[in-house]
Amino acid sequence: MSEPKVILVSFDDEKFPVDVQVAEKSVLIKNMINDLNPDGLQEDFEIPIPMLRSTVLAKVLEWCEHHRNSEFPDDDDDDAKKTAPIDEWDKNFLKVDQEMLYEIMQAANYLNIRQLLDSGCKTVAEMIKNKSPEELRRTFNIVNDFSPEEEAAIRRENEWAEDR
Amino acid sequence: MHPDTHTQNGPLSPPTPAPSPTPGPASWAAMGEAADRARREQGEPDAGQTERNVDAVIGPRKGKGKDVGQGKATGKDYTSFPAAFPHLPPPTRLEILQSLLPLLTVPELLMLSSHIGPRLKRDFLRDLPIELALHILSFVDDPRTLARASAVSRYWHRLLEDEQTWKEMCQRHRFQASGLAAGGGNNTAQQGTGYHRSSSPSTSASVSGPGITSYTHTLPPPLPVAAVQPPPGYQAPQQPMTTRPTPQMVVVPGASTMRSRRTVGSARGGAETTGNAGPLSVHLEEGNIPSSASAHHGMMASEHGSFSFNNNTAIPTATDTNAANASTGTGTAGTIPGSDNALRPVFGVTNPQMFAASRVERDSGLMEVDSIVPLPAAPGSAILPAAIVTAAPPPNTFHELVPNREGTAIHAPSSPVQEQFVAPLLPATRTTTDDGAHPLLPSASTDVGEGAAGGSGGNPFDDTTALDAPHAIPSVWDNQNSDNYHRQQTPLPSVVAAAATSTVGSGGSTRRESALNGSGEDDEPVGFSYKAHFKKSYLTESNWLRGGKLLSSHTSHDDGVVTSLAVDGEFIVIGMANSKIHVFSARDGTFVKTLVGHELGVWCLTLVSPTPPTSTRQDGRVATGEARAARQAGEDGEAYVDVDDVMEMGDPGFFSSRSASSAGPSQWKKRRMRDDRQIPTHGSSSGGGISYMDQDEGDVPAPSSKARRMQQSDVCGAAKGWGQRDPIVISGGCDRDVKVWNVTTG
Repeated sequence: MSEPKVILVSFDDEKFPVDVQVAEKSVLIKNMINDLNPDGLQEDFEIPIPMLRSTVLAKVLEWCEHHRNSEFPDDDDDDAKKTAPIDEWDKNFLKVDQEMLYEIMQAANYLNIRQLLDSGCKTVAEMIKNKSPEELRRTFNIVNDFSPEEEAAIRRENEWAEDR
Repeated sequence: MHPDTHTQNGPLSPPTPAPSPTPGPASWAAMGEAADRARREQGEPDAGQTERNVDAVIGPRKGKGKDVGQGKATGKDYTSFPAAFPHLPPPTRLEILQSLLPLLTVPELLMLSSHIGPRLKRDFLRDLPIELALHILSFVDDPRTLARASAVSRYWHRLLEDEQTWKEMCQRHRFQASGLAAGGGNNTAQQGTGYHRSSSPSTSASVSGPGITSYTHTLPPPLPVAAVQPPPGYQAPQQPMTTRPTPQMVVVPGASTMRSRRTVGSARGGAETTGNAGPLSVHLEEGNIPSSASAHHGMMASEHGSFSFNNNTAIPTATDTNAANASTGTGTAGTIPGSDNALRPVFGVTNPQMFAASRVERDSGLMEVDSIVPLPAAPGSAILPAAIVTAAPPPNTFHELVPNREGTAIHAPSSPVQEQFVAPLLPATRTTTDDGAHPLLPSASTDVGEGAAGGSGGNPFDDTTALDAPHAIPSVWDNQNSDNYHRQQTPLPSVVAAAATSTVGSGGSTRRESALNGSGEDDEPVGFSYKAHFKKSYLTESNWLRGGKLLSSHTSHDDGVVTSLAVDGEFIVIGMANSKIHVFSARDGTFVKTLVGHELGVWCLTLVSPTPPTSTRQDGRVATGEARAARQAGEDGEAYVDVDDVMEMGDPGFFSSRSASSAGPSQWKKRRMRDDRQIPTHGSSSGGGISYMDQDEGDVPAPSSKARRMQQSDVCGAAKGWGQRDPIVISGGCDRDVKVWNVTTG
């Protein structure tokens, strides 16, 4: 008999059986498992995750699977974490459309998968970097809702940040 | 298949109306009907095919997706379809779209993709929970990107007001924000060096040494105001302000408080606490009156103590003290960090007043205080975790101060989240002193540098204020912004590089100019936010890195080594080794006159700016006597200590955090002293040497007994006057004379 699995059930009722080790990348799930199975997991354990669509959940689990043995730098070491470049695999992994990225980040946040969330944040940060306000608006489909006066004021205020 | 569809359609349609609130039911019903009809009338095969597609995709849930295909064909359905569509259940909608896709032509697909593309974009910062948004921003390591991002939309702008983000940025760039934990900032260090260089020749030799003199001054009994420094890390009781005993002590921590500062800073990040506002206000009011009186005393005393007038910065003038108190209170004395903040303002404020406290300033100070009072009312004031809540703008510039403060006042009540920053200046200044200007070489130059640094710190104020409640008070905001902008953009007209020809040489001129540039940005005191602070620091740093622009240069006709210089809004005064003192106009850089009288080279000088005749006589008296007094003090290295009221000058090497607290001031003081290893209680301070008063403040430690630095006003090297009409230059020469000049008449 193989080890018991954790079965994650997505919003649309799709079931994803995964190893405990993989599922426990999510602190939320890990806690859930531990709380509900104080004696350890004896049999398959089903966890509904109504927050997530199956596509997103699949993506997230793909990440968990890939990183099942990854060692992450110390969470507390904020500086190192911030400066560390995005994991190459993560980078490619997160090359998805914005909607998917958005949902992945939400999922990571919800499931409390810190590293995935950080990767997502870094990805977005990369998207933000070195863009002009106009480019940013285009990138994120943001409507410029400043009044002309406000915009002028802000431009002045941030003049220092313009390329010179 | 077809029968299926039909049968399913029947049961399905009833539920569909349910989700549609308004026009839904009717139109939907109409559509359903139409669709049914259409299906019946039109190509069954089409419908069948569509359904198959749908089936493939959606599986068990079949809708009437195919209707649409046909619906399109009939004009009726076509019009009702868009209205009905939103009310369809999601699976149905999917089906419909799915079925539509194969029917589209390439141009249509292109059109769709161009429209769909942007709509698939996500405004991550907005859509994600705010903490995630901020988390994202924390990964953006380019400050300019952050700044630009704030121009994207209102929401982004607000998001980028977040102090934590900028605070981290400050740390990352090692800008020493007030109390920031970051190590000596590049920026500050640079400033320090720059300044230092420019003025160093004058004083370096003269400085006696690293010794620390702690100067303790006994305040006249009436002095009520006390700012006590708690040891770093010490937690001040929350309501010190309210309770404080009448004789309050002011412990002026002398020298740099770098370490403590840092501690504080770090603490602050986490710990900004909200203080009790209520008590504060009361306190403030009480404090004002007595303080002013005391301030005078303090000033006098300090002047006597003199050497380090600069050092004296610490001496709280009435206003200052008040402000400090207020700030503390506002910040809520609770935590040290808060108290620390509060104190800072004191320094800033004090400096300008040092020499001659002018009524105006005080008044403004009072205003400020008043304005602060409302703060307590604003619940937000202390709340922002990232925000440093303090209200006490250190006015560097006299003239500008008043308006600024007013602005602040207005601002304060309105903005719920007020982050008033107490003294951005201080940190920067301190750093400067520490890094660049060594305690050892207290030079006039330092003063300059500090002034600049202070200034740089100061600017933010406007911004901050503006930023705080942009939406709330648009008009104010705009004004301030523009104001600020203006100021920043216009470096002081006064910037003149004097003496390109002079021995200093081109290098010298450059330096000077840069220094001046720095000063140009200085003028504003007061508000603080990490954002503003960062901006300031960043600009300053980049300016330093680029060497600044030479705004103007002036060649004086005499060759001579420039040993010292002082600047105020009107004059640039240069002391030269050839014993002459040149005076240039700060506005246009033209040569005004030469003051001749020293027999040997001018070693150092200080410019006392004229101030409005509002100040009291006391001040004036003090000021006149100051030079002598300073000298004396410097020479004997005396320290006066009063047990109860202490003016303490620390050694720069030591740091102390200052906070005003009411409770057990003396105790704190002692404790702090112990911590600092200062021995304030005894007449002689540990070093017995020269005392540098707040170097951090940016005051120049008196280089020698002869040169004593007063609080510089808005610009470098100049001290506030006490109300005299004409600017005065006090110079010390190698001929052992200290001369006092009237700049306009000579």
